[in-house]
Amino acid sequence: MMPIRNRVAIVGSAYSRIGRHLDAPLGALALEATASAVADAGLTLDDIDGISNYPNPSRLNAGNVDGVDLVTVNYLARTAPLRHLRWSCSITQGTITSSLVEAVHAVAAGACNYALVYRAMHSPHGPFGIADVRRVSGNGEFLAPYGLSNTVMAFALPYSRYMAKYGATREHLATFIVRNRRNAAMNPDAVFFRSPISRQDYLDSPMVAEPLSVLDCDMAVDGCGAVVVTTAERAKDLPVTPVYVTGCVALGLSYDHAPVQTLEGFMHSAKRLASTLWDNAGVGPADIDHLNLYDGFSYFPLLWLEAFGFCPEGEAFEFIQDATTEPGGRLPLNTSGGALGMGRLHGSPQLVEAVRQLQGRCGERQVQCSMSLVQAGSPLHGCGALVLSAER
Amino acid sequence: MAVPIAGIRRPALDPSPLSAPFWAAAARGELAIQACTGCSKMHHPPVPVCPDCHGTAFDFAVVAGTGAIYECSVMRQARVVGFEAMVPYACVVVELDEQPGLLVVGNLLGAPVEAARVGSAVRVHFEPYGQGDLQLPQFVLVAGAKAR
Ligand SMILES: [Zn+2]
Repeated sequence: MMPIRNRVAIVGSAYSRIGRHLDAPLGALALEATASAVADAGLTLDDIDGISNYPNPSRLNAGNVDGVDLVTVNYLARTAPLRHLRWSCSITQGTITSSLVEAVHAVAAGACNYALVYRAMHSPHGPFGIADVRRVSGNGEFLAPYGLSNTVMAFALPYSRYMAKYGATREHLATFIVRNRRNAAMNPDAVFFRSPISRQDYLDSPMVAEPLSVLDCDMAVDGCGAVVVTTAERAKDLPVTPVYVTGCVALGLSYDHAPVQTLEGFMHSAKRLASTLWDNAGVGPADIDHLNLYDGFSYFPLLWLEAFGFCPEGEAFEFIQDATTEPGGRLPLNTSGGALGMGRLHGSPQLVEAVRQLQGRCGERQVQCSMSLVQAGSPLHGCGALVLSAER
Repeated sequence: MAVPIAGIRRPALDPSPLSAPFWAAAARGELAIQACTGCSKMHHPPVPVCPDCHGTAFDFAVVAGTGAIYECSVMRQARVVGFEAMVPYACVVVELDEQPGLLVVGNLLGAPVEAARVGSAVRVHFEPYGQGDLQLPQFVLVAGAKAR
């Protein structure tokens, strides 16, 4: 094994426009974000010789039109165009972080010099996430006959057990939700820019699948996030402040055999991923001063705080109550507003924020930090995590 | 295609060779779980290879159908086509008494959805599926039982 240890750097980052339903097709948003990330790195599209993404449409029963419902590497290669590709990768499960880890490894191994990584998500008009299952086989035989085909309900289950096992309540999580939206309110890229909410707004929000309400789910948006990676040596020649990849891991496999996700299965896989990351990075929780934990569903950061060892298991809902994870605290958490505040962008609100905080580019919401933890995805369905550093 | 039961349209079920014994038992009103003949470990959903001993020979063992709610959720919105008339409905994940971590899913029937709580004791109850003679294992609260 040869850990990355700052041999690779992120040198460019960008978002496209982000909105509930934008007029531009997703293909245009992906071109916008990727071109901006390349320009941010002081490069041109002709310099890009590697590309990596997680392409899947962002919802159940989505269409499959390239450039509309999803944006594949094939689409971007021919449309941007990227004439000098030598390496490409599409991961089958995960988020932008998992595909970034592949790009980090490709750059470190010399498969390419400048890799572009992106995640593009489309939110069509009409209801989001309606499950329509007409015929089932496999694991679905034991779920769909009970009306358990909806994603929110599937993810509500581990949280129900967490609450019962440790005594966590919606009141506890309200602290995180309100703070997240306060962070988003300071982020001009966020779908919820300048729209904070109160604890009562959260507690009154309509239930989808108990114990998850509407405000426990990230907001579906049209948008794209993108970053560019290269070697730390090449980064020296670019007119940018590089952010170094101190360590990284792409994992997220289920070790338990069960018809549903369980809290214990989540934690088992999450802890496996966390220990692998700390080993790879050669650092530990005490070295981190900025946290970016995936909040596609609101309770995920609680479990990750525990899995990464920032607090003991079963205590994160209490750990988040004081100012520790606020912007002025020792461990500011999701300063971008996360997925709940920025929009459903599969890890970009964690990744791009970490890069820009470490570069000191976050304006009103800038925090003091030098080493940032980025995690996005489900430990049971593909997950990528990185330690990023301002200094090499 | 399955026919509606009380306004619910369940998906058509297409059992595989692996799952067919489970559904055949359910049609007889029995909850039967795949058990490895090599190491006796029970698995649900059924597996082709035992993850514990890598054996490939299995029986289906009729279990008591009793257990405790391990995880649960109440669907409050019409977000699953075919199940609109059932909203609100409770889905419960039941840990069967026979083996720690052996989980089976059902709806909680015969009680208000608010009664779906982690730890509550339940037992299996079969209802018609709406497709041939198929029956669906469901769960009801065990009256007077203490939650675990
Ligand atoms: Zn066995």
